[in-house]
Amino acid sequence: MGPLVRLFPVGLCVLAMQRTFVTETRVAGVVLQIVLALAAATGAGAGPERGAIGGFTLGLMYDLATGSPLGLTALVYAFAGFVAGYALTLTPTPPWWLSSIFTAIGAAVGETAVPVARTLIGQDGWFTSRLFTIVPVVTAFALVLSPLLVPLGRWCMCVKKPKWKAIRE
Amino acid sequence: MAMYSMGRRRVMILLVLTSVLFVTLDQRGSAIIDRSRSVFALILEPFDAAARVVSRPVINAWKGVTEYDDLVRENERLQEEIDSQRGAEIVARAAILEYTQILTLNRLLGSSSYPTATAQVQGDSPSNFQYTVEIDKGSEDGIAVGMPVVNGGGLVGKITQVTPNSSIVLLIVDPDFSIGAKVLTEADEVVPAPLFPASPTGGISLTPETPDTGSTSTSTTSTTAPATADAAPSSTIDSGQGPLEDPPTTTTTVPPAGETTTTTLAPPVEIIRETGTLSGQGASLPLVLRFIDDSSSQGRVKVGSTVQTAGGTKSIAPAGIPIGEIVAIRVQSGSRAQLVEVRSSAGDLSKLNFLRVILYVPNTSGG
Repeated sequence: MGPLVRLFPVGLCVLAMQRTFVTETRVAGVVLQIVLALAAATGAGAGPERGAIGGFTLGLMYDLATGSPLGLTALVYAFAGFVAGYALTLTPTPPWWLSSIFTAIGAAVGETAVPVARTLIGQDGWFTSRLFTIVPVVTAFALVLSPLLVPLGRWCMCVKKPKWKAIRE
Repeated sequence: MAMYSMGRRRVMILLVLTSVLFVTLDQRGSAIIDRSRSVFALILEPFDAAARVVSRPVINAWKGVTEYDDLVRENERLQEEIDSQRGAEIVARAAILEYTQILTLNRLLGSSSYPTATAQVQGDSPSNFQYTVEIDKGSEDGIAVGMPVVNGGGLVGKITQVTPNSSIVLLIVDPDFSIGAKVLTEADEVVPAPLFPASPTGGISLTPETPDTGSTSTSTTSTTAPATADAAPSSTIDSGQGPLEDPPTTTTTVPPAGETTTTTLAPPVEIIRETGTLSGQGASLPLVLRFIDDSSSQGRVKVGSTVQTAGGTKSIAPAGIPIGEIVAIRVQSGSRAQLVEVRSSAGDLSKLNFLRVILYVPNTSGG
């Protein structure tokens, strides 16, 4: 229950930012996705399983708040968190820039997966050339915010950064 | 550390199955999920309000930087548009008055007969794959799922989610939006009727007038009948050549003394009604109208024709709400079906501010 107790209030704050501030400050007509960035950052900071669970929780909150089909964004954000968590499979303590790159990759995968998931449930019409603008902008935004969001995601999922100790004989 | 360990696979399978379960329940309509949304909206409300207050100055500064030039250009364009529409508005107002009188006389309900709730837009869609806005009125103001939402220009969307103090409006441009629509178009211009000379007894002769080759000078007086005596200014138009949207015209040719007098009635305007389903394609693309009977619409609808809601017992909106006008008609290859593109009359849906929710409860919710 620990991670959810932390993730829920943080998710509420980030969701409120998404619905107000972030939605209105568009870049090239694209709505920046801070909740998706947090989901991916959670994965990059806490690993694939925790990233998937964190992303799922954030996505579920997003669905409840925005009226999109419940579970759809949750699935997509879980996938984003899972993919971003691959950073921890390369090294247990990835440097900040590697976490940022994987956060961006997770966000790109997540944003691309939204129209795929919508098409799967019969909501066509989202595969347009606009995707080529949306995905890079959302990815860049996640990349820029990741130095802040990765530690936040790690804290939310109750993961401490491992510290190496010298082995004494 | 392996990417696909058993534990990870188990977590992902569990999450996927949970998502599928939620999506299925939501798509089928679940009271528990609806209640959950309402409760979550109540929890989120103070966070939203706080975020709005804190971020308002930042948003204003951002918009000041990024949108100033656009606003200046738009302001100039709108000013020009207002000037050009001032005359048309007077004529339109008179026509609406007449229309309302006819509805009252025939005890029919027009779209203006239903009560409305005025609401302010308080947020756009936070997603790039959903065209919705959030308004500040909810079930406490009588708003329910499925009700049509309009602005000064016409249909904007429909209510898809309601909480006590706010509602989500699915915009007309969203690919998931669909509504019954009718096209009102005027019949093709007919060949101008021959002029019939008035008989000496005052009746109208049915013999076509023989062209007068003599050098007679004639003065032509044309009067456009105003809808109300003081509302519409009279204007002069060429006999029989006026645009079809003008009111019926009576033309009287008054020749000098000793010449014949001719009276011509302009051909009556025939209204053709075609019904179909209108849906959105995204913000930057026009709406698409597909006709129920493809063959009937062949060559009958025209660019510039008006599109309105069709109404009916299963429609989410009453008849007669303006949707827009036809901007293009395309023929799909390998099909007789026409692809009719409609430009929304509601204007730029990314800049909505005040909206009116028509408190019209459809018999079958279109939610």
